[in-house]
Amino acid sequence: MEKKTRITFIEGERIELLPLNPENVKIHARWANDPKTRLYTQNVFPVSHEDLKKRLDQTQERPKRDIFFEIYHKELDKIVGFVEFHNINYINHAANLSVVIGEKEIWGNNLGTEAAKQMIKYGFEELNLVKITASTLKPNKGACRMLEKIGMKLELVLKNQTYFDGMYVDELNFCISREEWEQTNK
Amino acid sequence: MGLKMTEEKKDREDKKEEDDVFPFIEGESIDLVAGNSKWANLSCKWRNDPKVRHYARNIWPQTLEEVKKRFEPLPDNQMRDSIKFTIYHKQSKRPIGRIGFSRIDWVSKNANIFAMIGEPEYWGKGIAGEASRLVINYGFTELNLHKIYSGVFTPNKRSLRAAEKLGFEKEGVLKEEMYVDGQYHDVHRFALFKRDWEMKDE
Repeated sequence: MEKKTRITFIEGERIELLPLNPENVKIHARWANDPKTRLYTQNVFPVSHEDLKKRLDQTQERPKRDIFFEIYHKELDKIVGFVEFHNINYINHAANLSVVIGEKEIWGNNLGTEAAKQMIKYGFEELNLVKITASTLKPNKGACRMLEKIGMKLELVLKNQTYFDGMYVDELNFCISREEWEQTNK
Repeated sequence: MGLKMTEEKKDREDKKEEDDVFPFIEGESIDLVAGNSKWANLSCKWRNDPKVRHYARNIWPQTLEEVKKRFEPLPDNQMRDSIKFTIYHKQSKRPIGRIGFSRIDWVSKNANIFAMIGEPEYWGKGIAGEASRLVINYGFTELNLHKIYSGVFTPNKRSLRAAEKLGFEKEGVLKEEMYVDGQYHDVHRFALFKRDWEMKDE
C-alpha cells in the first residue's frame, strides 16, 4: 500500500505539528465527543462531523486569526491531539493557546508539554507575539502543572466562572510574555 | 431670486454634507475621515487627473465602477492589509485627498504610507505633511507598527523633502526602478522607526 505523505510544519522530539488534514475530521470528532476528553475541553454539546468540518474550515484569511495544528506522534505513527492559537490579536500581538491530547490512553507522558513548547517558540519567534495566554479549570490539575512547566504564570482567577461536572469551579488564566520566555530560552 | 434659491439649496446641501462627516482623527486644518462612497466620483477624478496621477503614479485609466469597488465594505473578520482615510479640509468643508497605509504586514509590523492631495490648489500648503504626521502617529500609537516606509522616485522633489522633514531616513536606492515619462528613474526608499518617532515627539 502506498505510504501517505505527511505534511510536517514543526518538527519536535517525539512529535510533529501538522496542518489539519481534512481526512482526519472523524478522529477529531471522536475526541470532541469522548466523555473523558470533552470534560476538560468543556464541550457540553454533541459535535457532528459536519459541525467540526465547519469549525476547522481553513480560511484563506491572512494574517490568520486562528492557527490549528494536529499533534502527530512519531513512534505511534498517528495523530494524538491538537494545538491551537485562537483569537490572535495583531494590534496587541497576543494570542490564546490551547492544547488537547485526544488519546486519553497516553495522558501523563508530557506530550502536551512538548507541543505547547513548540507553539510558544513558534508564536514568539515566527508570529512576533509578545504575550501568550492560556486558560484552564481549577480541577484540571494536569493542565495547571503543564502550563507551569512550560513557564507560564498564573495571572488571573475568575471565581466560580464555569459550571463543570456538576458544580461551579474557578477558571485560571495563565500567561507568558516574550521577555520571560527569552530569559529561559535564549 | 432664482439664483438666491439655488444658493440656499447649495447651503443646505453643504450643511447636510457636513452633518455626516465624522472625523476619525482631528488635525488643525484637516480631519481624517473614513471613506464614503458618495465621494467615489471625486476620487475617480483625482485618480485620472493628469497632474495628480503623475506623482501618484497612476498609469491606468480608472472607471467610476472600478473606483466604486474600492469603497465596498470588507468581509467580516478580516485583518485589512490597507487602511485609507479621506483628507477633509475643515475650512472649505470638502474632501481634498487620500492618505493611509497599504501593504500592512501585521506580523513584522510594518506598512507603506501613501498620501495624495487630489486638488492641486491645496498643494504646497503643508497639508500632506500635517496629514502624514497624524497618520504616522496613528500607525505607531494605535496600530502598534514598528516601521513605516515609503518609496519616492527622484523627480518628486517635494515628496523627498517631505519625507526628510517627517524624520524618515533613506534606507536605500532602487536603481532605475520606475519608468516615468519615457525614462527610468531611481526610487529612494525611506523608513521611519517607532523608536525614532517617539524620541522626536518628546
